[in-house]
Amino acid sequence: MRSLAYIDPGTGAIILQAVLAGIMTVGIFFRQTLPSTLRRLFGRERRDPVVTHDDDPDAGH
Amino acid sequence: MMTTPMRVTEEIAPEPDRPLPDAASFRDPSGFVFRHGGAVYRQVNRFYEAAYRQLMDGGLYGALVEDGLLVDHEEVPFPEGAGEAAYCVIRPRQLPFISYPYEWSFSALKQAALLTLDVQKRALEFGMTLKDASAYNVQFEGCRPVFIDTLSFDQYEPGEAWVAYGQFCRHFLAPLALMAHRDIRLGKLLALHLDGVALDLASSLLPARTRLKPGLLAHLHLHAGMVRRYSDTTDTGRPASKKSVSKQGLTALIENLRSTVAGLNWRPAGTEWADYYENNSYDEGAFDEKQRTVLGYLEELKPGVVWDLGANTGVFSRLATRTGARTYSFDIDPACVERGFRECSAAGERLMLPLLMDLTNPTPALGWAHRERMSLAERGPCDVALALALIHHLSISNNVPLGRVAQYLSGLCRHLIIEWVPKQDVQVQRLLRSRRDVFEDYTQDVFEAEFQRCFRILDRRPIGDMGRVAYLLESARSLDEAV
Repeated sequence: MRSLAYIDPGTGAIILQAVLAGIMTVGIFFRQTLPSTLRRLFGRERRDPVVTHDDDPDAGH
Repeated sequence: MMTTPMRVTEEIAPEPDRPLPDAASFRDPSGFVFRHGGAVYRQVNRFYEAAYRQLMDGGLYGALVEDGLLVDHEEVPFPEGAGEAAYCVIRPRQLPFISYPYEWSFSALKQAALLTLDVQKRALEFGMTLKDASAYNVQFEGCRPVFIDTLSFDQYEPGEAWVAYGQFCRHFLAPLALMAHRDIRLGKLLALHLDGVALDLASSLLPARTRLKPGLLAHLHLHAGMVRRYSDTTDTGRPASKKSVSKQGLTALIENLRSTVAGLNWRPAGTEWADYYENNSYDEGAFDEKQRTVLGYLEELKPGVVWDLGANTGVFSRLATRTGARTYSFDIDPACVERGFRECSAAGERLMLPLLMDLTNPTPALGWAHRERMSLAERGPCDVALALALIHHLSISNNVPLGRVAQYLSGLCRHLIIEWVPKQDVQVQRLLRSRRDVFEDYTQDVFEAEFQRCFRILDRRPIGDMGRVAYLLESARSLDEAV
């Protein structure tokens, strides 16, 4: 599909987005994905399985 | 964008009955706005067909309209003479007044920014993206922002960066950061920079401490540096690949931008007029009398649109909304306008919008050929204008002769409710305290004589016993003569 963009996005703005989005994705990985993966691989079974990443005090630490 | 009145497009040599683009609607080849029979329409071009179908059939339109984020529309038959380029014509829900970002309060601009990001977030969920993020894509219905550019949506291609990221930062983030961290009056920079405040300008004006805030550091200061670094016009090398941002990363970026905007705050305090009603020259009886008189006039006139000029925080604007009028409440003081907007917003006000306006230098026509953004007068005339406790600010603080005040106001409205404030009034005396009284003509007789050149006096009533008088006037100028 051809893009319908009609404004100049600016090279600097595109490169910055790639950098920022990369950093933020890495941040999300360390905050959310990695702890839950480690827990799944090595964690002991929890008594209460409904704890989410956000209110898990171990997440990201 | 929905702007400019019909008389402007008529100046272009017309092909008979062919819809002609509004003077502000020429940038985007996806379609254009035109006016017909007093209503605003939007032609959707074949160029935009695929994206329009995805918007309408893919669920995004329904989701946005249901949440009140996007103006709804109906498809209407083609007008005669629609060209080959036309795919369809839509008639959006009509808005009675167009306001501009440089007239919005801090919170209004912030809400428009958050709305734009919310629309972009929803768009990504439905496989679409905003191809522009101009502040002019947002209008207010009462105090509620709504996205008006139905043709701003493009199909999202996985991996692509947000083409409107730079525009969003210029139109919203930069002015909001300047208003919050430097000076509220810098919001007016948007009138000088119609495509948003250049990021290097914003970066150099902002205090150094804003570099310690991660959101402002990234989206504004570093962004300004990147723009400068890659703006070398002699570089003809390959453009940066747009396929460089994962969808997860892009969503995180939008979220981060949203929390950066949400974290910007400004508290109105210590300005001249914000406490006016707490320490003005009225006793309560006279103030009640003024309210009863004004309400009586409004109930008699049953206006559709009211402009309250010099509205302060909008006490009398609220009276006007009680008669069902859509009311625009103008004041010069950013603190008053901000307080008015917050109160309206908290109350879910659907009829009233406080706007920033210096009546001694009202919003001019701006943009390409002075046709893109309308002056205040071009957006009139309104049905009723209120000019309460205003005349002395125009005639004494700003030295405008009474005849010229009458002339200008008669082009803005069909009816005028104006309060005469005599020279002996404590508020006028306050203005004269530190200056020579060169206002021999500032008398009620001259006021009546000058206003009768442009208006018919329908009624006059004394307010209190200090010489103030309320007048109900009818403009003598025909609509065609509007300033």
